[in-house]
Amino acid sequence: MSDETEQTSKQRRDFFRRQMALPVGAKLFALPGHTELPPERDLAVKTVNLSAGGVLLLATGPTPAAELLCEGALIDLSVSSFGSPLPIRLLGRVVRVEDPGPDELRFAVEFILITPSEADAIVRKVSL
Amino acid sequence: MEAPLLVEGNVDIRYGDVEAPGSVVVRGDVRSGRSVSAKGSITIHGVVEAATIVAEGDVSVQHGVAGRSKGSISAQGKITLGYVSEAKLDSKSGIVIGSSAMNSTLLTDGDVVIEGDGVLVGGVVMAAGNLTAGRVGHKGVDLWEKGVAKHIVEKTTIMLGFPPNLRKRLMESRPQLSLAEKSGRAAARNVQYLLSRGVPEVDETTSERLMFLAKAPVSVAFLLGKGAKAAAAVNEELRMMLADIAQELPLPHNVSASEHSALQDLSLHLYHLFAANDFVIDVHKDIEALLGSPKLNKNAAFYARDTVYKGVELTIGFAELAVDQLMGGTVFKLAGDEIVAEPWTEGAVAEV
Repeated sequence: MSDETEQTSKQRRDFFRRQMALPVGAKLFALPGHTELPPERDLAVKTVNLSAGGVLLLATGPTPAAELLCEGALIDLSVSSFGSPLPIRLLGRVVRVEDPGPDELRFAVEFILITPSEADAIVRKVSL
Repeated sequence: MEAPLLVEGNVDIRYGDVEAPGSVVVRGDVRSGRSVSAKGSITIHGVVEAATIVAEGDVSVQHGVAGRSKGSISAQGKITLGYVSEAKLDSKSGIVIGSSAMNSTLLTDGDVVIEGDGVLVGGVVMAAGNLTAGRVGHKGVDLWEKGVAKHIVEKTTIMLGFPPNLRKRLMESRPQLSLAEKSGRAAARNVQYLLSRGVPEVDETTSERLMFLAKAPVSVAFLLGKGAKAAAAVNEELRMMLADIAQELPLPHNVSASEHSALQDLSLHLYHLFAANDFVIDVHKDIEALLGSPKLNKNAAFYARDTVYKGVELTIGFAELAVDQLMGGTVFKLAGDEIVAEPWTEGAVAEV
């Protein structure tokens, strides 16, 4: 395992992860190697598990954007249920796409733009 | 033309509620808990208590409304009444009040006129057109600020230039617009710093566009002038520029710690700017779908014939003014993006 892989792997385990199915707003933000994006960017998803470092998402329905998902894609996430009237917005990168069965798509997203207060809010949520 | 439904006495618990296919005339009062609705106009000779009045035409109340915080009148036509206290009036065409409006909510797509030396004390006026009144606000604002008289008289808030339904929707975006401005300012500082340090991610060309986008071009004024589609195009440019920077995250370590930190901060601020813009644009898309392309009435003005007390809060369009001293007869109107105050003259209203 290279230093970088080891570091990433360690970092992914730096946060307590909890199984929870939260509704999440998700939109494709960028695809590696592409500037333009198709107009239909919404992804229908819910969380499988969540930590302050990232989230595992399950696609709940087929969308044109879901077909474009790949490692390195950036996802604009909007997560409610944090006690605030407005959802928190997080930018994440897809680090793994799983295809466990027909019509089922799961993908792991690492948060790359998150404030300390947003990370705290998630830590509180998963610690309850 | 069909004769109006005539109620000789009061609309009360004995008479029951009134629902008429045409117009209605009530010779007495409309008592608390009752409702009167009509496809035509409604004329009430007495008092409206904590009752509900709904008309597709005009509503006229010869005495007034003592709503005890539950009374309301809603009309597609004009609402005309002697006085109103602790009630909500909502008219598409305009509101005319004989003597006083106290702790009430007055909403209209037209003008609000409180005749003669009539007073507006406490409550909210939200009108697309003008407000004219004699005395506005109250002497007790110093007590109010100390919390002493809060239970007696509320703050007086006046918002002109937009129809109430549009104003309410625009106000939903306010926190996000503030966030966009704050994030844009912070991003601009990061851009300047990174440019000065010669960091390759922020060269001259990139920084010029980033500085433009960081100055929050997506504003309510922009949205009203150019529409949600044009604003979405600006935000799309921001997305593409941010995507270029964010694709590199986590950042390479061939830059100094402070440059590394500034690049990370820049990404975060640009993302917050993008997300706030996105929210505001979504709200505005809804507004355009529901209300068509909204326009500001730049001629909307507040005419105070006699006195304006300290503490009155005025918004015309997006410009805000808090009255911080006792003023005599004054006309408040828009001059560019600001509210200016001029002395009241007899011909002032007629000049509009």
